[in-house]
Amino acid sequence: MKVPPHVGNFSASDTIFAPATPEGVSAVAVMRLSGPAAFDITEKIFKPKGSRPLKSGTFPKVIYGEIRDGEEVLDEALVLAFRGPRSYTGEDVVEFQCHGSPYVMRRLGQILLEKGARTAEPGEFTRRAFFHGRLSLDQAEAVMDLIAAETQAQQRMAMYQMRGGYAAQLRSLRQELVDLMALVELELDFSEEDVEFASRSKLERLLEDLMALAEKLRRSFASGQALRQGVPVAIVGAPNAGKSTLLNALLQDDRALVSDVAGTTRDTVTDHLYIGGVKFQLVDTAGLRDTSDHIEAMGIERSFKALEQARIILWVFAPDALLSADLSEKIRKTAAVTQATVLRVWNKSDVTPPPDSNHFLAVSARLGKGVDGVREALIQAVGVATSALAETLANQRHYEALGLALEAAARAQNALKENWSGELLAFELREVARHVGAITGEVVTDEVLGAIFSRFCIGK
Amino acid sequence: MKTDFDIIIIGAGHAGTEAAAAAARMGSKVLLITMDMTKIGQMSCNPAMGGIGKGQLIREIDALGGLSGIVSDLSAIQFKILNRSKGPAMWSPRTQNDRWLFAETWRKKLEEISNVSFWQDTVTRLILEKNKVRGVETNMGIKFYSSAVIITSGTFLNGIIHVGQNQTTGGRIGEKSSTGISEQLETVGIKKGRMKTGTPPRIDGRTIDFSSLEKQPGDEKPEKFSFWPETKPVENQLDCYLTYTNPKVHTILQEGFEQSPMFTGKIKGMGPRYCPSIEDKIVRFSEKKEHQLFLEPEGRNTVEYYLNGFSSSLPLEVQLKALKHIPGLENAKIFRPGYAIEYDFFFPTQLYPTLESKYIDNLFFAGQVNGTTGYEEAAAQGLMAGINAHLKIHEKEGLVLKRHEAYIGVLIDDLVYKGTEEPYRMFTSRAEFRITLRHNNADARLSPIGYQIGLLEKNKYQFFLKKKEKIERVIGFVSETSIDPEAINPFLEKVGTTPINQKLKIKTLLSRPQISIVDLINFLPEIYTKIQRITENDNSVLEAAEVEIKYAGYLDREKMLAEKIQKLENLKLPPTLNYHALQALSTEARQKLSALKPTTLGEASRISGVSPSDISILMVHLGR
Repeated sequence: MKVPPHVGNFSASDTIFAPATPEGVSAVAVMRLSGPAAFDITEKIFKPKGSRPLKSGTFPKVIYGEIRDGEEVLDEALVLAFRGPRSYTGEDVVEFQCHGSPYVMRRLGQILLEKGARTAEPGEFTRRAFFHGRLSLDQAEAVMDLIAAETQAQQRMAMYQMRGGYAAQLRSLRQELVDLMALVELELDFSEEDVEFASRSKLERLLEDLMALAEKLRRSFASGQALRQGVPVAIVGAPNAGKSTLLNALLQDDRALVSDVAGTTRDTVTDHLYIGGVKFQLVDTAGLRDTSDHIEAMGIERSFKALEQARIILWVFAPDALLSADLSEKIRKTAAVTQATVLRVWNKSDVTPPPDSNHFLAVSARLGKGVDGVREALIQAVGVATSALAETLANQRHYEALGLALEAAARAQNALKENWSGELLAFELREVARHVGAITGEVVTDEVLGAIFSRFCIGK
Repeated sequence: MKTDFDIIIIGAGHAGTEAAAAAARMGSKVLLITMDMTKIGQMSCNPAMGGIGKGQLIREIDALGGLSGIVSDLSAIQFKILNRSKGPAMWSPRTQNDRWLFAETWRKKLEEISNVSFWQDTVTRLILEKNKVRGVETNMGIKFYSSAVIITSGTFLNGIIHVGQNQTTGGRIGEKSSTGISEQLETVGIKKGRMKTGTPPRIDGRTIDFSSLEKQPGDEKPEKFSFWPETKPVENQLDCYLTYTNPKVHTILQEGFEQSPMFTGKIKGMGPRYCPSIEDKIVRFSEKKEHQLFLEPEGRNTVEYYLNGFSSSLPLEVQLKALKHIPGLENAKIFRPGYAIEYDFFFPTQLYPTLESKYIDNLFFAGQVNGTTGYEEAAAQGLMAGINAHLKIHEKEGLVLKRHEAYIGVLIDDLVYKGTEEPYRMFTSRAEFRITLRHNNADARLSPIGYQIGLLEKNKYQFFLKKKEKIERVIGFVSETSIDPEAINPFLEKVGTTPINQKLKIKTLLSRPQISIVDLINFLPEIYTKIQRITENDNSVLEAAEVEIKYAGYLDREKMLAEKIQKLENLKLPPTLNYHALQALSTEARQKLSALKPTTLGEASRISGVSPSDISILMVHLGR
């Protein structure tokens, strides 16, 4: 059995601390302290400027004062004090808002250690919050997502889940299922007696509803995944069409090496771009052409790989760099299979305007002209208004559990259709309820918790 | 007179007899104390053993080396596999029994065990030494000493019998109740509750008009409970009969409600929801115009019939008046009325999963006194208490069956962790691993255990090993043997499944739901001969092999689930854990966990009132 070293001293008896802001120089840095001794320790090291007492009065409160390092003043700071259970962790919590000097934070940590607090384990603050009933399991999971959120869209998704989100929908469908399951069980155990039977049509409808929701959520997973890791965008086209120039123009940076020599980009170049709260993962690819150069051929192979993974294809045309019919067909085919959105960009439009302006986004990457149009098109191509993104499934564990639930539900449907013996139907229904329950927190297994808490980072 | 024994058993009903037989056959010197030597192995209620969920229990008892299956076979007057139309997990054997022959057979079986001594008396007090039981004291003032005591007092502790407004103390109608033990146990802190159960009137068969009733015969080819060759399937089966109540009957019964102890508040004990009295049924299912009633013969040499489904504590005259309006019973006379009985039970959460008391060492409880209902549930507990009392006094580790091993495991696990608010009855839906826990593989699940603990005799174990080998050989044979399309296609077409166009293994064909192994081999004389050579014409071998093949997918999935759940069982909860300090737990969870002290997270998860979120909190606390 895997037991972490802090077994036995986890319980609320310890007071823990960790910086709540990232390391490095900043205007303000926050140190968070939580546990039964949080106020006592604070009294030992913090001298208020005014006469406001730390331990009594109304909470939460803000006190201005000095952090003492022995005889000396370490820093002037604001202290935010929360009285448990009305705090994030459910315990007494003190937050020190210091000046953002790495030395001050380091030294403050040492002082807190000397006074009897200990460094928090990864995820321990949230673990305590969960432990004290301040957060449910799925909410704790969402907190973690929220902390990791880099964009507005991700933040909305995490907030939605934190407030209950799709778990509530799943929970109510599951409850209906459990009620019907009881009737199926009753039929089995009282087949000799005259009992009411579970309505098969009701059961069928419920399974359909559940499967529809599960499928919708699973479909949204791809977009959720894309929101976290960035929507993959492949920039493809013939050599010297100006793909790298377009990448740099989008990034407003000289990320990719550019030159007039066709085939300068021999490998894929990846970077992230944030537009309107959405993260894109831009992949600049080697230009596509039939080549005898071995290295270039390898690069082109990778271009096709990037093409296959892309959800948006920026297909760059230029009057002097057009693709062979074969290669064009290949791009179209790939896009048809992966259902990626294809945006046709006509580069070097300052030299030659596009033959059909409805069909192409006219751009001069070199001059930075029309690049905003590309940005807009990218956002539109993501295809979902950010408000709708909230209901997106972004959690790998939930995605897998829904997959298992769907499989079991499909077997249950089959059992109904082919009129299998009741205990086999019951078996599948139990599976559905179990897998959905793993998302809604009604079924807890070791792996569920392991999966959740192993993903926490220090400070939360 | 000998007053020193290894184990004393109080009560000789279904639990007491199994407990005595098991402990004695394992080698303990046993004293069985009963208030009435003529009532050993008495069927107090319906003259039947088994049924859905319950038949599985009897098969398990038999597989472990208990005697209920054998006694049921030897006294059977009808045998039936219920739920035949469903899958093998739902098949449930049941016998109708000759009530007198059943009791006689039990007594004979016990008398054949030299380690069993008998004494007719009433135990009034336990002899305790600190927290350990040392023996019992009886009404006659005799002190018997022993290393362990098993209480299987059924409905006798402070039993009160109700017929209408009439109340008498008693353990069964016409029999005395027992006082003293309950009161003594309460003084050491053991908590008791009250439960209620009932029984229907017994009808004079000479006054029943069977001509208008639907006959309920036994199976055409009856099987039997016991896996062992010492019993044979029943011959010359007797029939049961089906009749119904009607609105007129309901009206008459309702008129008597004001005199019913159920509705006047005289009965305070909690009755079984699942085996309700007729007055309960009328109230709770008021929309139903009729209820099924079964007339079951009480034996071969009697005209007495049991009116299953008409359990009642209404006044005698109301019962009589209502019966007159039931088809077939228009002129019926009765031998004795239905009645309700209230009795003490001890909350089973005060027991370890070995059925030993957490309060008094070496004191075991089994049967209705633990809050269960039913002969089969009682017998299963009696067997386990007998086994565990013997193991305990020989300083051996107790036998606790797991939920994926046996219905017996589900039963005891439910009782000691979940507890029960109403008389607990077994259902197949209580089992998470229903497809694994079949009546026909009870021997494969449990006989090795029965042999290993020294209960199942060697010759029976060898008999089991031989059957097991035959099953494996049949599975091996059908896995290796292919059949030609020409040979089998006419059969496939006949049973309505697609013909094959190349050679196929028999096993692959068997996975089709339309194909049964018996039909298939009957069609192929050569294969038939070869397989029958393996099975030596034992059809149970064929059946077992077929189920293993057809349900392999489900069985594998249940196995995976069992392993997953087992992980929670491996997470130990430290005995020193102070649940009251864990404020995050719900109040109920804190109380229950402190009181029940589960040893693993798996056990904790099965305690009623402990929610999944409480379990997550414990997991987090354990540092998971």
